[in-house]
Amino acid sequence: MPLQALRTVAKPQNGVGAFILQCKRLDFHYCDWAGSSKGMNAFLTKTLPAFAARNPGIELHVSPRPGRHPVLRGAYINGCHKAICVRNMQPAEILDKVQLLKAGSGEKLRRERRPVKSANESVRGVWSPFHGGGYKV
Amino acid sequence: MRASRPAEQALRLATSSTTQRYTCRACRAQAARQFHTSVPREAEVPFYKRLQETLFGSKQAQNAEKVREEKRGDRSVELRGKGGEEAEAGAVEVKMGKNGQRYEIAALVDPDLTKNYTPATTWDGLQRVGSEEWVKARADRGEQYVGFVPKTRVELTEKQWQLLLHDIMVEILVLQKAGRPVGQICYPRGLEGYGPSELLDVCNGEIAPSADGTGITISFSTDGARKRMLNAIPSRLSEPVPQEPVLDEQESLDAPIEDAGELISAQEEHMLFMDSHIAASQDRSRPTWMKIPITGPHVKIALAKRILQLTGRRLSDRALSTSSTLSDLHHHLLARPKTKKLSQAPEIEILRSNVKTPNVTFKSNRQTPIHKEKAIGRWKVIEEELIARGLPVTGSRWQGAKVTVE
Repeated sequence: MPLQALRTVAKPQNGVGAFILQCKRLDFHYCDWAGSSKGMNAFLTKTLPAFAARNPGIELHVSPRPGRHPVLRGAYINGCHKAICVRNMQPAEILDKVQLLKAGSGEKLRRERRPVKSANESVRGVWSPFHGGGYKV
Repeated sequence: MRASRPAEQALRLATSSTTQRYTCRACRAQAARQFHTSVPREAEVPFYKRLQETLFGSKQAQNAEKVREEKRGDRSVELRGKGGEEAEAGAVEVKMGKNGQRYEIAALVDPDLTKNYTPATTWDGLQRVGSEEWVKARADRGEQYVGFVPKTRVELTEKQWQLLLHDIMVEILVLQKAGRPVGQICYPRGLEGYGPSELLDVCNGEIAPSADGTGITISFSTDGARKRMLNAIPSRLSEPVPQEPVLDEQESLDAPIEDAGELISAQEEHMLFMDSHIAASQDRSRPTWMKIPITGPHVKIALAKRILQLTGRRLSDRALSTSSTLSDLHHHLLARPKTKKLSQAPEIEILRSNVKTPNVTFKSNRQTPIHKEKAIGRWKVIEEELIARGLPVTGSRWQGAKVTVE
């Protein structure tokens, strides 16, 4: 019998065929009175139009939150939200945070203990005490 | 004893000797006896007595009140003797105070004698000491003050501002060349100062830098224009006529001020005349004269004052001090004031209306959870359910809760 090919299902991987941006919405909250919102206000008037034009796939909502610090809030396809307080930040710093939110997947931030993730089984087999040279006591 | 220590210190300070003096026990004891935290006079009066006096008044105050009542009674008897109403409606009694102040004694009204007297149930219309009208009448002493700033701020276009600056500058230069103070441009002019010939003279004046570049020249197309302009601008302020004190305050405040109204309407006519001139004249863009430097702070102040008089527009000190040419002033006059709210800023208005960024939504008001529910269409269901359960839709059932208005 000729060698049969492995029957595997095509694994979906974002970016391989098509790329779908995970961040679907960004909320910008500012305050007209608070001094900590000065950078945010400048960002909204100067930088936001260009950012909105470059990212037509992201919904941008701007609304005031009087008496509070300015906040960026991102909503993702997996249903998660991420908020970053941008009090007392300059417009350039706020843009960095916006890029951070945009580039995120929405997953919770976790410490990666195993550097390599693979679905393939072990190449040389998993160790067992019953195979191999044995122990000399 | 602790009580004697402050007394001891006081003694020490009073004698102010550098050497440490020994105070004997007897003196220290005496100081402690003399030391009181309360006024000794009041310490003789028992506490309940002091409380009684505070609540019901002291005997002295009560006696004084009795004397006053008796005097009032005597006065009313006097009035009855004089003939009642006629006496009341008569001359106001004046009393001179300690510092030479003049006091008018209020008329005593006897309800038995005055038939048409009805006691007031509310204080509307009654004279109140310390009210705004009372303070104003005392401060103004009956004078009618007329502000020189127009009540409404005039909004002009760029071209209109240019023309206005040109006309004011022409008048200032004419005054300067005639050797008159430039501040006279702001002196109140009669209606003859705003006649069509005077306005035409001003509009036809041409400002240009001098040939050597050091000064400014001004030329008129019509003869005698300079003289007419100088005659139209008064050289002295008219002295205010002393007015008699007004008895009826409300009437005086409501009375129309004829001269100021005519003056303001004349100024409005000036602006209309300018509008017609813009339409008529073609060659009105003269940016070269706007680059001529404004020499002297008195010229700047005269310009700023005249602009304020005609348009109600104020120039900030910073704008005045940093402007060296008419074009700088023009730039400051055109600058829109900074908006208080970000939603009213011009950049946001552009962002809202921009077709290239349909993904941007700008809300002027705080977005509450109700707004979010309404956006996804869930709110009507929530509202119906709340009403069905008898719960408040917004706010709370607590009696002291603030009533929210949707």
